[in-house]
Amino acid sequence: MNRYLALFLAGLLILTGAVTASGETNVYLRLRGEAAYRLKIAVAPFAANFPTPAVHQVEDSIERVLEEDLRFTTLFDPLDNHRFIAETAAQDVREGTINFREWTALGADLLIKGEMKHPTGLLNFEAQLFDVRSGRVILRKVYDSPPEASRDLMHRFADDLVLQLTGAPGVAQTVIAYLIATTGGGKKELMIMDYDGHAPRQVTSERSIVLTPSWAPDGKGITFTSYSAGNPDLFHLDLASGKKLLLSAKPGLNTAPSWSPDGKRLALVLSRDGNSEIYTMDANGKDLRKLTDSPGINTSPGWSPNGREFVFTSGREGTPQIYLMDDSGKGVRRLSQGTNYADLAAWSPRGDRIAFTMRRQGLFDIFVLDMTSGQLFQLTSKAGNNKHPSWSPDGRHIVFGSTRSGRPDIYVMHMDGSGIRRLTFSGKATSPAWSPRVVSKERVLKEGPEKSNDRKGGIAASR
Amino acid sequence: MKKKMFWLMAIVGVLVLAAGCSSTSTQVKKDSSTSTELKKDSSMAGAGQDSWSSSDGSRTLGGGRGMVFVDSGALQRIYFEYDKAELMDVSKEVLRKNAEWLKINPKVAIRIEGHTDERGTEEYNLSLGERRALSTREFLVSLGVDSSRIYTISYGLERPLVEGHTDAAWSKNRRAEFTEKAN
Repeated sequence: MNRYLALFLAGLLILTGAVTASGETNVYLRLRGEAAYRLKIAVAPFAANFPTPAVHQVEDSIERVLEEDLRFTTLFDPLDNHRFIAETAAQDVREGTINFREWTALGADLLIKGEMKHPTGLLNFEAQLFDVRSGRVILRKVYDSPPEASRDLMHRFADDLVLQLTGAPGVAQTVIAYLIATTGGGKKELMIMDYDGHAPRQVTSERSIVLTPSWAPDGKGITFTSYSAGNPDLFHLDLASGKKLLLSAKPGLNTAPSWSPDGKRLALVLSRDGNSEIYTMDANGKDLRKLTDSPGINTSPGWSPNGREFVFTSGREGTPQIYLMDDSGKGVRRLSQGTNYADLAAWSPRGDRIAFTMRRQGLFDIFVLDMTSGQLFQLTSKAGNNKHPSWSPDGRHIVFGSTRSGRPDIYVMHMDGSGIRRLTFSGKATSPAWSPRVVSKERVLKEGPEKSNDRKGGIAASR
Repeated sequence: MKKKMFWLMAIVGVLVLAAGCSSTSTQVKKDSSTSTELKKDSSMAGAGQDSWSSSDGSRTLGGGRGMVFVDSGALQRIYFEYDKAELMDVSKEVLRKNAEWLKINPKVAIRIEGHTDERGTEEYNLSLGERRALSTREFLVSLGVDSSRIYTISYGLERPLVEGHTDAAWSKNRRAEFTEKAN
């Protein structure tokens, strides 16, 4: 165990000052997030005691799902020589033992063996993680799940594995909320997909414009603006029940929600005073407090992870810029420089970095400001407009919207800007929001939009 | 030079259209009293919802929840400069015509819809569209139109008038539209 912890500590994110893109006035640095050493891990083909396992009907084998989960963490390097892996695994089966010397010869530091059983109505999965050199079992897990949830099983094991080796759980079971423009134009609905882009499902049927989705800190619901009643009002969708709650319906804008880390207060933008200003209120819509009062636009509040500060956007100096203020609206100071447009700032979960979008040379790109050093890092460049950065709950990845393929889609990247991967391939997808770690994976979410359709009239708080 | 020509043509076009409309559309809608309708709507409002008429000092009626607004073509849209909500002189001219029409049709309630071009972020443009709608409303009120007749809503960049990624498309999309309350 200690050996692995030491390896990870050695491999943890190293910030280097390697200069990449050179700006006109500023020099932007690049975050180097690659681990110094990624543990080589072999995923042996799982044994299965049933002839036509449902899991093998999916286009990628279930072992690949687990490999991709592990690869995405940037902590592991799954071995890709699948033919040799299969041969070695077959030899193990023939000889009724694990030939650790063979696995060492393949270059593996770690080995995963799994067995799937298919008792009536259930999928049973037993997985073991071995240290190849010592032959010791590092982790053994047994899961039961509905037979169709085999991908979720892999995600669960991947998260448990990361927890065992690093002390912090992975994010393979998290999901990403986003908006999709429905056909016909001028309308948007709220969607959710797995963190790897799988199983996109529509969770609202507003038949209207939905904007600014934002997760509740417990991951059980999403707060968003909807025009369904004829005014941009703020609603909260409870994902388990499908129940929609009216949170704020002042005259004018009710938008850009951000929950306090303890979930007790909500920051939002209202225009009731004739200008977009940032307010906070309690979860019942009471105790409204106004935080900004400036002639320019104030919007996009983001609560700091310690609950004491806000990052926000203001046009008070003529163009949209990123500012900080304390939770009473005092102590305002500007963060963004060298741009005529910066917006959509998001704190990293640890509060040590702020990601935002900023326009330079005509295009929007994602930047990260290191709050400790004051250094600015450019994560995207020369590939369409890149907006709406949202951090994974472990702070190691960022999901964002980009037009790099010629149309709006959702992409994910590591926190240093490497490993950019496209997650959506249909519709116009925007405004991604990465969920907190989801407590229960027994998700009603997968039941699709029908559920929320039925609840259309169930706006509990509006009565 | 091109820009000047465009605005000149825009001014002329708008004036011609506005003149045409004010002379033809003199019908007054037979409508039940606007104020009782508004009251009904505000009583429909639920918990946490301020009504426009409440004494909380709201400076906007909002979008008019549950109401239906239609574009009758009686009122001309106006355009804005990039990232600006201030009214251009040409827009003020249009608004004076619109205000005249509203005065001779005193029972009609309207909704001003603020829009932006596609550049920038959804969030900031939502607030920018709101500012455009509200500055337009404010000007109409300053011309003597009763503020209780003017609802406003921002659509930000969500509903462009014309598709396209050119200066010409953008300048047409930075606008405030006028719709009439139908119910």
